[in-house]
Amino acid sequence: MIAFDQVQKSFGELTVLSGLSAQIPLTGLTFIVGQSGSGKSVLCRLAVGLLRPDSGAVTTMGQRVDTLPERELQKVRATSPYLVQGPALLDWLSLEDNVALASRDSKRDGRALAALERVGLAELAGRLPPAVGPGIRKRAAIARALVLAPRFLLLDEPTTGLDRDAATQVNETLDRLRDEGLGAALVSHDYRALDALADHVLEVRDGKAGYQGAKSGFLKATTV
Amino acid sequence: MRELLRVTGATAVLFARTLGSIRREGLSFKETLVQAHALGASSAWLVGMGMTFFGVVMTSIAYAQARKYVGNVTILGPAYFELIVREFAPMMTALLTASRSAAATSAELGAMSVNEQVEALELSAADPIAELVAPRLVASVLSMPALMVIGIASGSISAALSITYLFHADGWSFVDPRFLEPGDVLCAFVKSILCGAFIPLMASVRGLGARGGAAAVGDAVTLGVVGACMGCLVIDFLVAATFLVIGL
Repeated sequence: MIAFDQVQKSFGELTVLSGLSAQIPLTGLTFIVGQSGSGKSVLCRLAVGLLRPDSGAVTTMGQRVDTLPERELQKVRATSPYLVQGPALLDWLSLEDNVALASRDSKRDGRALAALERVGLAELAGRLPPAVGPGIRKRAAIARALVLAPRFLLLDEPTTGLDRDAATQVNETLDRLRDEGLGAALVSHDYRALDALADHVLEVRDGKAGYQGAKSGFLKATTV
Repeated sequence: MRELLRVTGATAVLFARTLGSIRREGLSFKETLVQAHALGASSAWLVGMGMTFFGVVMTSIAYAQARKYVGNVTILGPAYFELIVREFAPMMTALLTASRSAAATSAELGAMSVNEQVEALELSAADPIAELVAPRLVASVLSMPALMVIGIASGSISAALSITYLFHADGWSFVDPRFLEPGDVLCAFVKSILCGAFIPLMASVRGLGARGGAAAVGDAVTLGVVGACMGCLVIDFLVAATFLVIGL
């Protein structure tokens, strides 16, 4: 579980989170929703220690990440990798070599190719990122996280900027990984995907947790 | 002053981290070759052309002034050759290469930083320094002495030809190594290797430190080139002073 307890976070004069308390389960898909600038991405960054809260506690898989030294945070990020929104691959390396960046031995021992297989890209392993579409690049970035054998994934708007087909491919990949037992939390504005995929929803509103719980309750609350 | 200390410290730390990355992760031979081509081989024409014009201008002015004020121009050629080996070629090669490769490195790494690509590498347990900085550092250290040799050849041959054909004098004395000593050659290679290491490190510090948008990349390029050039001048001074003190 990833737990936020009375977390406050400001950037200069701007207060983004003001006493937010929430929990994200490690199983299933949790959609983190809220208005732009409400602090959804900040939550993900706090969860892996990329940001430290001004006050409050952040616990990821039983470890207080807000007080962990950088060296220990690397281990947390390996068990629950955070995929940023932007492009994450090196253009001059093949998809397989990009995936193998996460672990040098993974190309030799076949883990890189196996990770690409899990996201349906094994046949494109030798292609360079500029030669494939943005949806495939995003799935390759997910494969790079899979090489680390994570327990959980954090994804920041994985389908933003993708066309419908590419977004569908990414969503299907997450759905398949969930079926294989890998949980994930994803920041998203895509309510169609939420309706189709989500198990849990965490709503961030006015710097605090709004709704948190099962998808059905969220849909019921928002449609009434 | 504080910024100068910060950047100097950051460059030293990046150097140490890069050595650590090479020791831990090894070095990508393929990427190092790519960078040797991008930073070294592609700069050869710039160094060759730059030093050719430098040689023509320097020798023309020096020859005309020596003939006018001193009269005896017989030692001018060998003295020039010693100077070009020890001072002009390492320094001009470093400055010309810095203007080209530091801009390219700062821009590429700066764009990757502002697009969160570097952060994405870190977050997926990859080592951005091993992938992005180490190949550039090794390629530059290996390329710079070779570029310097091209600079020496261009600067001295152009000097010889210009004296021969412009002044109808003994131009080949400008490639006469009679004053050249082992210390001159050693000094030149030390400057060249240190500048070869410093240029990609400074450019990487600026590029990896870029935050924001396009303006940040522009600032990184400007600061990377200025920092690399200024650093090479300081290295030149320190090495020259050290060799003078130890009598080489």
